Amino acid sequence: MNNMTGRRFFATRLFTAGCAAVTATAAAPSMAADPAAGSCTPKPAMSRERFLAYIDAFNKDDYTSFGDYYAEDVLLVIAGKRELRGRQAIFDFYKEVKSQTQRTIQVNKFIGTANRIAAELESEFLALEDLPNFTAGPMKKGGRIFINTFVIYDLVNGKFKQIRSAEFRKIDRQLTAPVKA
Amino acid sequence: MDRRAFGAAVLSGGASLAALSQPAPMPCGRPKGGLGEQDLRDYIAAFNRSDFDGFSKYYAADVKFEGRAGTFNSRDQVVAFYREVKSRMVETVTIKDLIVGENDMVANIVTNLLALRDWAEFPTGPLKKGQIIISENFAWYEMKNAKFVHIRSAGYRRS
Repeated sequence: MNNMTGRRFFATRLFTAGCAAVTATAAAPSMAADPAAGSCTPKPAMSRERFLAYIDAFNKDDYTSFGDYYAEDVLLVIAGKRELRGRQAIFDFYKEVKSQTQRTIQVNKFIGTANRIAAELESEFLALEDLPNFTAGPMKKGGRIFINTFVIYDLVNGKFKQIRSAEFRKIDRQLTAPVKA
Repeated sequence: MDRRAFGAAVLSGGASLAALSQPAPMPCGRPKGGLGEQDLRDYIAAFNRSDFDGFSKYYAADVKFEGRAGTFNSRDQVVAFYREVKSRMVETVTIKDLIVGENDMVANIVTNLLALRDWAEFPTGPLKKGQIIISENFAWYEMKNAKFVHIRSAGYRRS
């Protein structure tokens, strides 16, 4: 999905998709009936709406709000390689990324369970300057990279304890013509 | 037992009208997509023992499969690919984490490949006989009518 129409479609899919999901994982707590939902699925550790609010705060550079979702000792593992431990380490990383690019995340899919959630995120990076050493690959000013990731969040007491991100697809839309300053 | 079956069982059991007027306890049913945790575990077990009929029965005929080694657009294509793979290597998949939703499930899986012979053209890189590759991937399964209709794999780490 690589155009704005497609992106809107993806976002629409998220909001119109049926009731989120929620059955047990290997370490799931006991199943408790939820009469309101008419099922016996456990209450998710985080609702879709609250997760969307997290992404919205991230997109707005509202560090206070999105940082509140992290446990103090949160561990972010990017592509199984780069590990960032603690809120401040994550903030420092994103501040650098956001100083170089305009990054916008949209949520394509979401699954919530009692202690874990999974999301497919689509991130758009718009380079604000030439970035030969950018973390997602070299970029020219004005160029865009779209990266779809599958992310698993482990939650404790409603906060992200561990975040693991795997890259599914990267679409590079670099400019062929120079951008006017 | 799904909701319809549950209701039928209650009716066929001659339950009283009074009982029927009360909300029936809701059984823990399958997700809307028709597949649950045990189904995925059974699917992986069939895959590991190279039971092609056993694992391919979980695929819709027009399943879209976007794996690390290729993209396929039907059950037959996926099975043909894995017949080739399994004639050249032992592939064993282990589930580490599983998140099951109503129409999707996500599994963190570890794949262990042992090359039985050289395979220079292996899609993710040349393999030498005896070589072992271990990778961890997040697989996203979309399901409908108790079949996988779309499977995508994202590489998390590889050793």
